[in-house]
Amino acid sequence: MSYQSDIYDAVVAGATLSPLIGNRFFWDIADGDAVAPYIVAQTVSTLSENTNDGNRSLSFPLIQFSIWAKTKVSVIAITAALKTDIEGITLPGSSSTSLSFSSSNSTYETDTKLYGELVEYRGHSLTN
Amino acid sequence: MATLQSLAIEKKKFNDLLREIDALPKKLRKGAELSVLRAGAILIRTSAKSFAARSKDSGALTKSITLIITGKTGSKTAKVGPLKGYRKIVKRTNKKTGKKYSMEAVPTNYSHLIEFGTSKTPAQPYIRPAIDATQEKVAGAMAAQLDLYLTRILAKSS
Repeated sequence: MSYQSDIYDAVVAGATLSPLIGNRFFWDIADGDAVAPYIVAQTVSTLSENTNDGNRSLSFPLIQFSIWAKTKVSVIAITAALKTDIEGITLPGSSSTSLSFSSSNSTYETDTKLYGELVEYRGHSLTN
Repeated sequence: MATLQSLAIEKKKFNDLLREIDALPKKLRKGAELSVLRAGAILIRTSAKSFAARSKDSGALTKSITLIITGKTGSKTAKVGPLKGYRKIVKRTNKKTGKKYSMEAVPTNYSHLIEFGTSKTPAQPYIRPAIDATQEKVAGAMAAQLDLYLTRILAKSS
């Protein structure tokens, strides 16, 4: 199990988040027919810890969560729910992932008329 | 090694470096700042270009990534990113008709969409991974450049 599947499970099963987005959480790209609101997560980059024997046991991925919704109120609610369900806790799963807040940016797409919030978290996880 | 502990050490090294520059006579400091900042930012620029080259862009974005040092008075800042005003004529093919045509690519108009993605397209980040990939080397390169700069100045004055 990787940190990606652990994050997926935590978001989809999140007590605060799941009533808002259901299972509309995607890695890398949203399904073509995905209806807002939804979240797309992507690994932006990864710092890894290398040991002298060449093995690495920890990684520090920078993960971008793009929250898209039809209203700003909905974006704010989902961002807060995401924070409640994943920030500052060790997520269930073998990767023992924890996420700490890094940065946040708001956006609005004129073509799709969707409000967005791009939230970055720095992960700390076991690579095995 | 890139643990949080080692990042803290790197930050300490960087702060030590800044203190060393501050301790230089004012005349020397200006040149040292430019030279040292440039040495660090070049690494980020090179890395950003290599990450941008992986994106599906026409190549205009990769070519436009540049390094600018700002701040005429006070402390200086190095900025790495697409150059404002950069334009490149690129050739495209219309997917429906197969006709070829030329258009002007202006990377500053779309570079943020590549870095952060949109609701329908995935992000192809090039700045954030470049910073992550080089942060261990930047402090070292800057320290080496300061050493080189001072050695040159001393050689000139003797």
